Amino acid sequence: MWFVFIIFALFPYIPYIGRYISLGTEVILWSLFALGFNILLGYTGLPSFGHGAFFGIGAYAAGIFFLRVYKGLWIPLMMSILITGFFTALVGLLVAKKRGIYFALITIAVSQVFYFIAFRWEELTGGETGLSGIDRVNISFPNLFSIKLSTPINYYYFVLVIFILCTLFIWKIVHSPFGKVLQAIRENEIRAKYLGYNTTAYKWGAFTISGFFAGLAGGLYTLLINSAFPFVLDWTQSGNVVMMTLLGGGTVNFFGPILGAAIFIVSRDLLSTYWESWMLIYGLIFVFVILFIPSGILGLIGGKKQTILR
Amino acid sequence: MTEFLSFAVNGLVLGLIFAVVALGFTLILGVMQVINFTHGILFAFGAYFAFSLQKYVGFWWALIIAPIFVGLIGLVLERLVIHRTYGGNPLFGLLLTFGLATALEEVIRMVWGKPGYSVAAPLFAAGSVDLGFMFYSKYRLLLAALTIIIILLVWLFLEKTPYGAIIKAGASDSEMMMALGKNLPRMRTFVFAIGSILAGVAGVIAAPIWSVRPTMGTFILMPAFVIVVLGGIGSFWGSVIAGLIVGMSTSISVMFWPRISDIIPYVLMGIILLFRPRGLMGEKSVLEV
Amino acid sequence: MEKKLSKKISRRTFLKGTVAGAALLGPGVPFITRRAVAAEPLYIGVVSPASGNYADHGMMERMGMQMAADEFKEKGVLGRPVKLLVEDDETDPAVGARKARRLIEVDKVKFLLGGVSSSVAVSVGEVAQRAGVLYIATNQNSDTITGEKAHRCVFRVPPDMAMALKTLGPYIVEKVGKKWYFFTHDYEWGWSGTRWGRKVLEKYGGTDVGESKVPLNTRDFSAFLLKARAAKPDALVITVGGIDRAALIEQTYEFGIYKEMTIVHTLYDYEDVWAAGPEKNFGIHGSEWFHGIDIPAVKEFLAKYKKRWPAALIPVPTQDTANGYIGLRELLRAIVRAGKDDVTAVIKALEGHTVTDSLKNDPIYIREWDHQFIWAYYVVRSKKPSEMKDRADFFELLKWSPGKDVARTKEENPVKLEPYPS
Repeated sequence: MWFVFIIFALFPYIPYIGRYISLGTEVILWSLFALGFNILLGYTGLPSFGHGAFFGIGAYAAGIFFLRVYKGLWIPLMMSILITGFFTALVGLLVAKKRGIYFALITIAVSQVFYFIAFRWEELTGGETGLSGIDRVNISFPNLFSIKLSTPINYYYFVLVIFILCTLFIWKIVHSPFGKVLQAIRENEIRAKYLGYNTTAYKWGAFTISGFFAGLAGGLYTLLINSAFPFVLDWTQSGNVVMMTLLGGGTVNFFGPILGAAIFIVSRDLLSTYWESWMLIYGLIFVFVILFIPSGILGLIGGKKQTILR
Repeated sequence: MTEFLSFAVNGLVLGLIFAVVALGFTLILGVMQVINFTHGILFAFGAYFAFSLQKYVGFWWALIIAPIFVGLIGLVLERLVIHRTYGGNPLFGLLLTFGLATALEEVIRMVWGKPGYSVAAPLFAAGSVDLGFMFYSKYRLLLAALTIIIILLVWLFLEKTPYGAIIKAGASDSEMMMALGKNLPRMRTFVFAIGSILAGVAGVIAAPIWSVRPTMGTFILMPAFVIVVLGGIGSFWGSVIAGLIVGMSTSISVMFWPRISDIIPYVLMGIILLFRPRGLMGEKSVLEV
Repeated sequence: MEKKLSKKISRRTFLKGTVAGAALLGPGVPFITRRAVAAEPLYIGVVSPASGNYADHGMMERMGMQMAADEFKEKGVLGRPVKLLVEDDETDPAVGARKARRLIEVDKVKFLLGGVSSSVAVSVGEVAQRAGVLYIATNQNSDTITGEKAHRCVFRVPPDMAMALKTLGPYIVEKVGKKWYFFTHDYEWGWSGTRWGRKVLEKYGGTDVGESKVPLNTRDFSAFLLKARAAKPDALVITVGGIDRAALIEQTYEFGIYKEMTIVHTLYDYEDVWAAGPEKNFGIHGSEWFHGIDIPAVKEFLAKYKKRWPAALIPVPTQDTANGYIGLRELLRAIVRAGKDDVTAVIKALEGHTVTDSLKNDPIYIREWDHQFIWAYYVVRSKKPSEMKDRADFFELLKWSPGKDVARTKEENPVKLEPYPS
């Protein structure tokens, strides 16, 4: 684990690619999103196709709070987490009883509703144009010091620190008794029920917790780009986070989502720069991964030993 | 009042197009448990083939030939890639078709180019007609007639042919199909091809009024989801009725409050699911295990 | 003992020597690198749609930019070759902003260009302003880009809706009729079109007989068309764009509405007319530019385009091509005038400059207080298929207004730009 942190910490110093700091920040926050999402997908086995909406709610919560209520740093971020958590909890009530295809279909539908709200409720969200002018305020301890977050590199380390803390936290969650029950549900929900566990409540819990992290990632993203747009709530974003998680091997390894996020974001950026018809390759990569490396890259490397996420 | 009537009639016509698309979608979902994201792009292919064919054979032949080409594409996709995801985690089918749809959209741009195109409706159907209580476009009346015929044909197939009966059974309970001992893979390919043809034919019919663009499929894909869930997965009448409901509600809500017209189908879906968790006409199925 | 000492001394001497050598070399290093820089290409970042709803427009504007870049091939700019780094904004503001940041952070560009969607322009403009990078918006018509969201680092080439309606409006009132019905695309650009339309209508004593707000991503216009017909206007004044406009054109034809009232598109993009085809071309419209304008500069540009892009899908340049060409050409000329690739210097070289060899009937004035390119706007009539001399001859020019007569005044646009980037 520390290996991963060290690589991220050293990234800005790698020649040439280290210049692209904002991409690095994006990789980190999407890794955060994917790790939280994997609690639901990899550990509990629930295929949510609507998590892009929660990312988006977090993004807008931070933006709206910054512009309309308080121009700070911590408060808008807290709002991202809390407001998203609230909505995820609500939606979780709707879906906790479902499984499989129905679960997926309903999460798609719910995320579409949020997308349309963001797109159409212009007074609140700025509609198609979105919100802009969201600055990164300095972290200041009066009389002690002040860190300017508006520079890309300072913000990169800020996000990295948050990421490290969250990763440790998620590690704790999935290795706790709670996490074990989630895995039991993934393996065989009916048996878990017979063992006396209220599986619906556990599923709801997993859903809500993943929502908190999605919201946090969304808030951090808004601060990164200083704006919020409805396109982040598009269902393709939900597809992207599922893809990242799977690609890296989230179904077999805790770190899969991080690897997946890094590969996905970097290659999408590179692809679209060098080829105008990049979407063709992008789509084919999806096909390739699903057909040939469904356990993701870490699953491929780990071989037969690593078939189940523990 | 005439205003309301015109919105309602519009909604019906829109609903009929949606119903045709949803029928294909629900068969694929019911029989193979695949959430077919390529449905939108197959719709677009229908329109593009119609555009290319029209110059040589005119509208009516294009209406017949284009969907066949789309069916072929669907067949190839299914045989080559999609069938490998059957029986697994529904995510895989979804992601696979999502990837295919993305790639295929780019293929359309590469083959036909980035500019948009126009498909001409048959000449006799141009312009408006006075229906007495309102004016309406002749083409849309033609469209309504065509879609009703198509829906009828599908119904006849499912109800009156033995092959169709098996598929109909399989749509709500695919284990049943296996128990009947028929050649399952071939049947599934067939269902996918049928679904593709339905999407393609809807694309041809809709092209003269919506114009032909690479991104045109996104407009019917999401409603297809809603219709299928609202109507009940695998149910013929569910798709038809839900299609009409979604079409009407979208159209009428434009009259009162255009901004919420996109969300209304979802709200309706949510309400109906509260009372009938499997959709209006859905039955307990393999999907819930 | 002696040997060891000598060794030590020699090591110290060696170190001293190295330090001294580095010190001597030190000031020389920038000299060496500066030499290398002189031959280094001048990178211009282009953020333009290659996918998404405006892919066709993006293609046309990039072709125009390439034509401008070709003109500087021999001499270069400040002795350096010009290289365009093109990124796809996917008609998505978040992607556009990310690409802009990539160009700035990784490729270290100081100049950005391009775009068709107004919301993408707003987000790229914000990135540019924060980074102190110059951005020229080439094909966006929303008022805000040189209005509320105007920035010191952002310039805009095409006209805004005020210029469009102040040119088009009086003509319609006079020659078509005083009763107007509005179709407003329900977002910022649409509102600005209808807003200016109403102002002109009121000024000339016309009547507003109604409005339909068309949400984005509308495919079905039948209800709106029927409502408009019931109001019996003389002109249907439409400010609807993108893929929605394509469906609207089809349905205007489908319902035969164009026979009962004059269809007026306040800003009619040639790409949309081309897609619809000769049968579905009707009405009187506002146009930024089209290849049939009868001046030598346009004829020359048309010939250049045909020579450069003989296999182009659209056989003539569109307004996006012209804007892309002018945008890049004037940027490069400004860099030459400034004498260095410093952003503040180039901004100052652009502000207040007049371009005499414009592609329109009047010269371009690059206004210093809102960074709007002030040049003409046109009123055109859709030709019937029988009147078309070739397959691209869709329009007949009716009238044009010089930019300075129709641009927003300071009262209408109280904009304040930030200080120059340091």
